[in-house]
Amino acid sequence: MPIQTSQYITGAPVADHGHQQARALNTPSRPRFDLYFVPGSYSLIGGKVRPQLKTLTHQAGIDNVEQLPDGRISVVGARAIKVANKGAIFLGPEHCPAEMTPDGQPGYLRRYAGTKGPVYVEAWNRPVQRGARIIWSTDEAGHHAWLDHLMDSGAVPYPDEAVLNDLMDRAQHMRGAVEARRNQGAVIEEAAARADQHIAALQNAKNPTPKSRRRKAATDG
Amino acid sequence: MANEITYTAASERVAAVLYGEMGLLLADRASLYKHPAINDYSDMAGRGSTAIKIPLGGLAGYDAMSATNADEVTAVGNTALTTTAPTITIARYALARDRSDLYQVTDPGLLSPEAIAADMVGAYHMAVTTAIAALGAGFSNSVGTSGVDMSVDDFYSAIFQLEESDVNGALLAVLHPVQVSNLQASIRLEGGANQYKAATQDMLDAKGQGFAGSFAGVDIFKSSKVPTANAGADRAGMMFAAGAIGFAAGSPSAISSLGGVIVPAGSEVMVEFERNSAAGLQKMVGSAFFGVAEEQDAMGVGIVTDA
Repeated sequence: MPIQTSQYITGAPVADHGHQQARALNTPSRPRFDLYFVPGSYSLIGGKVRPQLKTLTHQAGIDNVEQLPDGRISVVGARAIKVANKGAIFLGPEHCPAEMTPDGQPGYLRRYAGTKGPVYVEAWNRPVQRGARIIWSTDEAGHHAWLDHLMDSGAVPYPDEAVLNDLMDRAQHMRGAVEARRNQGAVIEEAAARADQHIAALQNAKNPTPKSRRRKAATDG
Repeated sequence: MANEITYTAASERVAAVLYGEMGLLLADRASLYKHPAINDYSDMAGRGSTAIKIPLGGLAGYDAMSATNADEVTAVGNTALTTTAPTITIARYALARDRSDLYQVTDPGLLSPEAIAADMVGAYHMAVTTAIAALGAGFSNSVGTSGVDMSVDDFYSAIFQLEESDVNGALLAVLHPVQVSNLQASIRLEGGANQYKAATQDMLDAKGQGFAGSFAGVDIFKSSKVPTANAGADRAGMMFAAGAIGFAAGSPSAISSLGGVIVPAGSEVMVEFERNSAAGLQKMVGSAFFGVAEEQDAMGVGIVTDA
């Protein structure tokens, strides 16, 4: 049975401190986080080569996030290390316009009140109340569209030829490894089919099918 | 007057029991951060800073000697030493429990001193595991396909990625339970020469409850703390070798004038009692100071597969 949109609990955009939530989610708290892109990090997401975003958790003690004397935390140093060491591109609310999210609010972070503290998730990851249980549902198509938007808007570069060649090399290497396991008596049909699908998807990314040109409807006069 | 049964005396007995229990539990290797693939730079006590820089240099063959082809008297030029210094910053982690006097009257033994010790040490181990698992979503390299169950190929792909990065030494994989069960299903499906070595009781005793077995010579720890990726569609597990992740902890020194402070020697966890007589409450607070950080990006790889 499809999940009705109205059953989703609405989260707060992080900037909205006046948000009222009817009932705290009975789920462990999740700290706030940043999403960032590391140049060259792409993978097959939703059948297309899309950026594989990384996460910096806003929790003191993790990856140089610092505890300040006034109780707040600072991610300035942690971000600077990622930028210096990996060339990380940090994504902010400006990289996610309202039309890209399922709830029509800008920014990719949503905050929910939880019984054990705030719960931060991405806007496309939404809780559904099922009695006392919380089920998380992901709007994958919406998330993929946002990843495409990041590339279309120039926030994140499109994968270049070298990246696609590297992904293809790895996929073909793995296909060979699957075949080698057959010689050890393994039943590889499923793995082989999956590897072939992977290669086909990468082939499409390297040689995208040209968009069919639609003829303009003839008009009189 | 003599032989009163006082709160203080009871508290001291509790303290004595807790002291022994916590020492035993902390010495147990039943935690992810004790694995040899995680570098431990403890103890941070007395260093004068919450951060520790780990100097890493390209030595022992990182730069090969080159032939001096010019002539026999030309002085050889200096070769720059490749260095880096990743930082680990520690922070305070704590857990507080408040129990009322009425609860203590009616407590069927749930909050015994042993249970409190296990609670605080368990909470510490879980916090460290959560912090380490969070690093899996940060490695530049990743393998796996979003929305597709983890398979033998993803596991091998991670090994190959680390081999390409010239990573040596014992590998450790930290995976979400869903990833582990998908991997096991994939191995079962294929059969053949590759066999999953499930954790035996001896292995669990040695490596802790999170140890799930090993495959292709890689130790596998499973944890529900492995974070999500791609808006919750996937889980971001990881595989790495020693040098990818650093851990540091500080052992707080006991405040000698304060009663009811339990700090086993060299301990990473401190437990204190705080009495609020007016409210009839006894608070127990466990504190620890630790940090984890990525040391060398290329020595780890994320494994992003269906959640």
